Amino acid sequence: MDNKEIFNRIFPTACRYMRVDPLKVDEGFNDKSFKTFETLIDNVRFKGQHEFISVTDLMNIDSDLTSSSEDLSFYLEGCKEVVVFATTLGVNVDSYSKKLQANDMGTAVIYDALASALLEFMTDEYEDGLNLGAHTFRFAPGYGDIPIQLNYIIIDALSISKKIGIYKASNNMMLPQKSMITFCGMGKEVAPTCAHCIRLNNCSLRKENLRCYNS
Amino acid sequence: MLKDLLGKKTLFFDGAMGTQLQANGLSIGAIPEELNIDRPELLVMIHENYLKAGADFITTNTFGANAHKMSRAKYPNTEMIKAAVKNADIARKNLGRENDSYIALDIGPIGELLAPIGTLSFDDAYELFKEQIVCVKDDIDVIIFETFGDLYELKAGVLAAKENCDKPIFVSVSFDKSGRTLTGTNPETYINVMEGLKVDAIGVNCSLGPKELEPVILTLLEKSHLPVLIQPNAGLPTLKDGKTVFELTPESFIDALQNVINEGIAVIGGCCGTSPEFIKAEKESFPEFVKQREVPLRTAVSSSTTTVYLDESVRVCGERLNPTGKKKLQAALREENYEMLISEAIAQEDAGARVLDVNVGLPGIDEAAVMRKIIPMLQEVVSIPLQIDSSNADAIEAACRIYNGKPLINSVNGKDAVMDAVFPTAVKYGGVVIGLALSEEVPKLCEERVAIAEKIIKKAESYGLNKKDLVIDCLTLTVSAQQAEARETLKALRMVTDMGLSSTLGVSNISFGLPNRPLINRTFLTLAMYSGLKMPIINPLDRSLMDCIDAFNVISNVDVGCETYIKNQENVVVQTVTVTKTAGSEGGASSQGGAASQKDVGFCIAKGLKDEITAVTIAELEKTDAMDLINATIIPALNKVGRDYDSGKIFLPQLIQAAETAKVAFAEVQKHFTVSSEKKGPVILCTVEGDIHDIGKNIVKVVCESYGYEIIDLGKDVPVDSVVDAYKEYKPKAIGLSALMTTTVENMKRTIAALRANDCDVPILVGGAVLTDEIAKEINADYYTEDAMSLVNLLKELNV
Repeated sequence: MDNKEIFNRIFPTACRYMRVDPLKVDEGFNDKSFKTFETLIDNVRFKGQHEFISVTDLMNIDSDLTSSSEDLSFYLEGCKEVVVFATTLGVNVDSYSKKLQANDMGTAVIYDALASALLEFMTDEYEDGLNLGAHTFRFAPGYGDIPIQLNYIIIDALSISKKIGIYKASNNMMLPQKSMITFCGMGKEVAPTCAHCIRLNNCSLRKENLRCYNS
Repeated sequence: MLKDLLGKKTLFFDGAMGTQLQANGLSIGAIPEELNIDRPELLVMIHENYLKAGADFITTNTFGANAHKMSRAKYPNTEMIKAAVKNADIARKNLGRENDSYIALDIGPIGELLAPIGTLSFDDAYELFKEQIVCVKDDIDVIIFETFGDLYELKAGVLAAKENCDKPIFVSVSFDKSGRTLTGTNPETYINVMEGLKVDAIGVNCSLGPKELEPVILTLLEKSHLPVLIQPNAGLPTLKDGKTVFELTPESFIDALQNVINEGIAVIGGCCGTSPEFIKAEKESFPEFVKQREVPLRTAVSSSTTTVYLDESVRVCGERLNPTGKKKLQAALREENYEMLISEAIAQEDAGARVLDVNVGLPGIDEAAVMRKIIPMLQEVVSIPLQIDSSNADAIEAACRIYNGKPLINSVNGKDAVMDAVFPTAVKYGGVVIGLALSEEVPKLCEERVAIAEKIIKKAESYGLNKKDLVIDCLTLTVSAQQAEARETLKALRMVTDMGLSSTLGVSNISFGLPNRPLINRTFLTLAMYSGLKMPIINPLDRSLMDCIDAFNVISNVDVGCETYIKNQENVVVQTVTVTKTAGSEGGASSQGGAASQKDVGFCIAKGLKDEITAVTIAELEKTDAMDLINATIIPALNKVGRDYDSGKIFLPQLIQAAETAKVAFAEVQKHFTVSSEKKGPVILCTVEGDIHDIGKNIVKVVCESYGYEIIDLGKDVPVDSVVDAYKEYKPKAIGLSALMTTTVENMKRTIAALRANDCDVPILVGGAVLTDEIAKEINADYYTEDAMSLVNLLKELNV
């Protein structure tokens, strides 16, 4: 897939992050966004890691935390195994963003939104490349009542800092900023739809007739 | 003694610890270091197996034993470290190997990135490492820092080791397939920085197998003067029946090392997936003695990602971060408003500077404290090395300590007292030092300057600095006052070059007091480069000087194929310049208006034409009063942009672009006021403690500034007390707090409570992705604003 194709795939999502209506975008804004995207791509050093672990191991990783989440048990019901994904665009993306924020804030906003959308896209591609078979959609600590503190435990337990360079920052945040840790439950197919989502009745995107997944 | 053998006889480390522990029942999420106390017999057995296989070093099971990582462990980290060393000692005693094996205290990364990328301070990192070392410093033989991905963190560790322990220090980092560490350091930079810090062995481990690491290993062997240590993984991990396994056997591991096995590796071991069988195979295959390598010394300075050689072609040092004669920069430094320095740094790097001079010396300023603040800020936004420029030895020491890389120090001269004050810092932190060829006064003759250079070399060598860690400044004197000395400078450059030294000059002093200074500057620069000048200190934004260097590089056959020249010059329109000899400034200058003259200020703001707004504003100020331009054009244009944003006609990026453009216009207009009567505010902005996401706060800042508000930006992750202190110091008219994460809203609440407790009576505004009106009320904020525009509207309503 060339840069233009990837850009076309992620641009609507990036627009959503910028609160821009993709249908109202003029040529100038589109061109500027693509130019920014090409700079972004030059800075990206995508890294992914995945580990298959049993649901029991995941639940025991810090049982105080995992047992406090009803949603985690709900989503993994019927699964024996979980794939844990860790993906990042790398530290260069953060550095360049900082430079832009110092001298070209307008472009920095576009760059940041494109980077977020690109991370999701590249994680999707990474997941697709694994041919997982039946699995739930990906979800992350912080979604529903799944404790965000799990990020920290997982980073250490799976040596993620050492392997792909995602580090802990204060308050359970991760660095580089464009990084994520997600899970899929294995063995049952649960598509990413509103019907399967715990925020079905409480979603700001849905109220605006938008979706967080490709419908 | 280890130091007698190192680099002469091939020495063997052990292999993987984690793999061995997992094979013996360590579960996912369990803390390996707890086993040092819970199952000492297991650790002793693993160590014994490696010793029996031929290892000379036993690595303690302490990779993650820093206080941060061990916060969930059931034992204090220092107890687990002591137990680990004891287990290693028992193992070697059990086998009678007390006298011919070494206990290596294993130290891995802390697991958090250091500021400015992350939030952990350099000093905190230092303390964490120090704690790990001090508790066992008398019971170990060597310290190994391994699997590091961040050069800055490694520097903190090495300093903690050197300042608290006298044992040899080995360092080993991980490189990925691109040949860089996770934070972007390449092997050359890693070598340059670690050699400067004077570690005892330098190496690579983990991440990849021996074949994939071969290019990095060859670079280490080719460029490093230190013993080289390698500990590859047992190949790349693959998934087999849902389990991670490594692809290589001991035999195929050795096969993969064939191209490097006889090239001078001093220490060899193994990382993930290796076992005693791998160490046994290494012992049987590697030569007994280490091949000695000839590696030439170079003059090189580094940031964390870039190494610049100062002994090959011409490299420009940007001179603009120096307050001498720059009133705006002086004011910015006094007000601790470092934004201007950041912009200047970025502009100079973008214009082609390869090193940046940093000078913050002003009467009444605590230079050391400012250096400690500004160096990380600059290194966050530029990737080139910095030149620490000060006559204050304490400031140089402070800057070199906090600097990420191998710095250039500007400067010493021929006076003993100056050299005695600066050389110890250069030795300790591994700096390259500029030596000014002057003593009590500037010598007139070339030979006198060279004699001072020789004195500097001799003194440097007495401190253990090599002459390749010196750059000689042959001194530019003003040609209008001391005409004959210019030739002496050029002669001195030639002689210094012939002595095998690198050289530098501040170029533009040459023309002081003469008309058409650029002509003299260009001519002198060309002659100086021809005489051997390697690092001109100039303004890289001066295209005429930079073009001279491009042309020189073509003619001297450095720019092979004229590639750089063509890239930089292909779009230059050559005009015949006729210099008109008039007293005024009107004659001869061509109009810069062009297309810009057809646009007005309002149009440029609406369209966000930041690059054109200055020329348009200047043109309009010739026919319009400054105050009228603000009230009748700039403010209405901004208001229209704001309304268009509110109604969805334009979007956030366009709003910001317009705001940035208006800010530039304001700056131009303000030059026409004798007093800055238009400033509103001040308003304090910050992202609260624990939150590192500051793009939202930065957007608000730009938009507010475009409306003329003075913003005091405290930055991100700002401690509660710092916000209170800033409130007392700046007496703002409003305070804006930002948070992105639910988890940091609690800190926002604490910040507000602390402000209230200190009688803060100005409006406190909050914003950020997780904030709502309800949450704002809950945490006792006065107002919630959804975005930058609504915040500006609120400030207007509040008459801030």
